[in-house]
Amino acid sequence: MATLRIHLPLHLTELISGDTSKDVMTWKTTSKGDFVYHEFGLQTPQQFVESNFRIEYGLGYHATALKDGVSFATCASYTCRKTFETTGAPPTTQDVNFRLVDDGFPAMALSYDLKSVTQSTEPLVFILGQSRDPLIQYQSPTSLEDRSAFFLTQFANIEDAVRSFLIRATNNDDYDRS
Amino acid sequence: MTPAQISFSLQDYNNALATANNFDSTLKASAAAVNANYYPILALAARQVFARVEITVGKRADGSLNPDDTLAFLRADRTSAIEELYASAPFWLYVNPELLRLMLQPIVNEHKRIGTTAASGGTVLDLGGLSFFFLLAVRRTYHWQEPLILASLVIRGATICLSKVIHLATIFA
Repeated sequence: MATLRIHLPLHLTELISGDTSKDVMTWKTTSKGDFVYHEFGLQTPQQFVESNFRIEYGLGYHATALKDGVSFATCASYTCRKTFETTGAPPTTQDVNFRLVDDGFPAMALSYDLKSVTQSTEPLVFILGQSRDPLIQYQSPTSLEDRSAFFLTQFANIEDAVRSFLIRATNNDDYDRS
Repeated sequence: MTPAQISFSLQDYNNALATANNFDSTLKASAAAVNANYYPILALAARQVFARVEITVGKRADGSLNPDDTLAFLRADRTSAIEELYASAPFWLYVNPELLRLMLQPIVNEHKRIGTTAASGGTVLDLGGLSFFFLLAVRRTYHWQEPLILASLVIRGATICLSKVIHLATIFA
């Protein structure tokens, strides 16, 4: 039985950088309990600064639940794809060379090995997000203050928010696809 | 409905999806009452407008987030531009008037802040020139009372909005 392998590249750099030839990015992969996430951002974030209409601070998140067949890696985009194409298996490397965004285009890779699929599987949920803290600087009648996103009052930290959004989704059998 | 009561039940993707689908069906039904072809444009516009809103909270003295101090901003080229608030007001009144109030509050606050400086008067046009940085633009205005502020905001917002619409119409004519 032939197996189908699908590879979906996502261009995520616009979430964190307005000038990919000048910005150095860093990233951190955390595999924790029932989920894994890549957190990526600039090495020198500039609060409240825009470049080419894109924000120069804040962190991007790419996450998925840790289920059977899930693997994750960070590597140069081309290298990741090559590994997948030639070996049929996703890479599992952890790139530690923090560099310019467009130097090899570091990829925050997440993959599911569906093995032999004969019918629709449960939906695979990926979380892609960006979070800036603080969100805005505001001149109130009394002070110049930094304000944060409202949703952060509902979670202890952004990691909690990502996990909470993710886990119930993947464990719920009544997931409505409509 | 206080800001703290804005229910935040989006604690997981399925609830978020159900809420989103519910919103879309309600919007679709409302649109169908106007015209059969209205929904696609409304759906697109709704997403654009929602994407621009940022609901923010301030911090308490100890650094923790304070959900009772909630303000919202409409973020585009200019933060909370009054003609954009004016144009989007019908949508907010349909969806949740509290969000409109949260977006008007910073503008009213701004008038209170600079209210006592003299001169020819005028309303605040927006809360900042760049999307992410609040410029301390000096605007001259009288010391307005709140109802007057809102009235003049509506008039000015409507005027700018109308002039933009006319401008667009001439481009596309």
